[in-house]
Amino acid sequence: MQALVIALLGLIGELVKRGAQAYADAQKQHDELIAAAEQGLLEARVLLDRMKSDHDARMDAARRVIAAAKGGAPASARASVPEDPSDQ
Amino acid sequence: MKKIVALFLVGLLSGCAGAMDASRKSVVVGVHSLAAVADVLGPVDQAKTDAAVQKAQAGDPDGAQADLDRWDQQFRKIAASLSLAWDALRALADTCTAIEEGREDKSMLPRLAVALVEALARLSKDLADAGVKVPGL
Repeated sequence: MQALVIALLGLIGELVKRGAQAYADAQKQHDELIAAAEQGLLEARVLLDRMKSDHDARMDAARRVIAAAKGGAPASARASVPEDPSDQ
Repeated sequence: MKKIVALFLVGLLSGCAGAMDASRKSVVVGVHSLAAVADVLGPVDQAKTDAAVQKAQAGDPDGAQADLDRWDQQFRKIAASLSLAWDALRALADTCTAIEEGREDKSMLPRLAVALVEALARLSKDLADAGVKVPGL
């Protein structure tokens, strides 16, 4: 009887240990998911803002070339975005 | 786009904690999709503006101006749709946090799902109208 009780207690202890481990793993995954979502949102925002500012720079450059062409002046510029030093 | 919608619907159909994680997975997939669109749009934007410049240099500045204005309008529509989709994803992430903290009710999720689906549908339409193809979306 005593051996059975000890075995049951051991089993319960093991179950509690595994449950706690599973909970800790799930919590860790949950936290990682929250962090990934936040990081992704921030990076996407930066990317979208940069995409818009690059577009504005290209439009300005192209409009200058077109205006020069309309005025008969030589138009050799390319509608490129200025180099971003942070990319280097 | 379909992946985000599917993931979100799976989240809604599963339990509360599962729905929160599935919703956050939708956010992660969603922001990667938006980044993919932005990555594709950069070179397309460069090509469109270069083409307009070449047209102007070839002696058709009025045609170049018209092409550029048309592209600018399409680009701004796509950019607005991207921002709308980003806002929908931000709202989804914030609402998940609020639900977990007990500040918000789960009944918000279907409304956010509709907003997200509408934003993605609008983005897809704007991309299609502009002839921009994004691989994998």
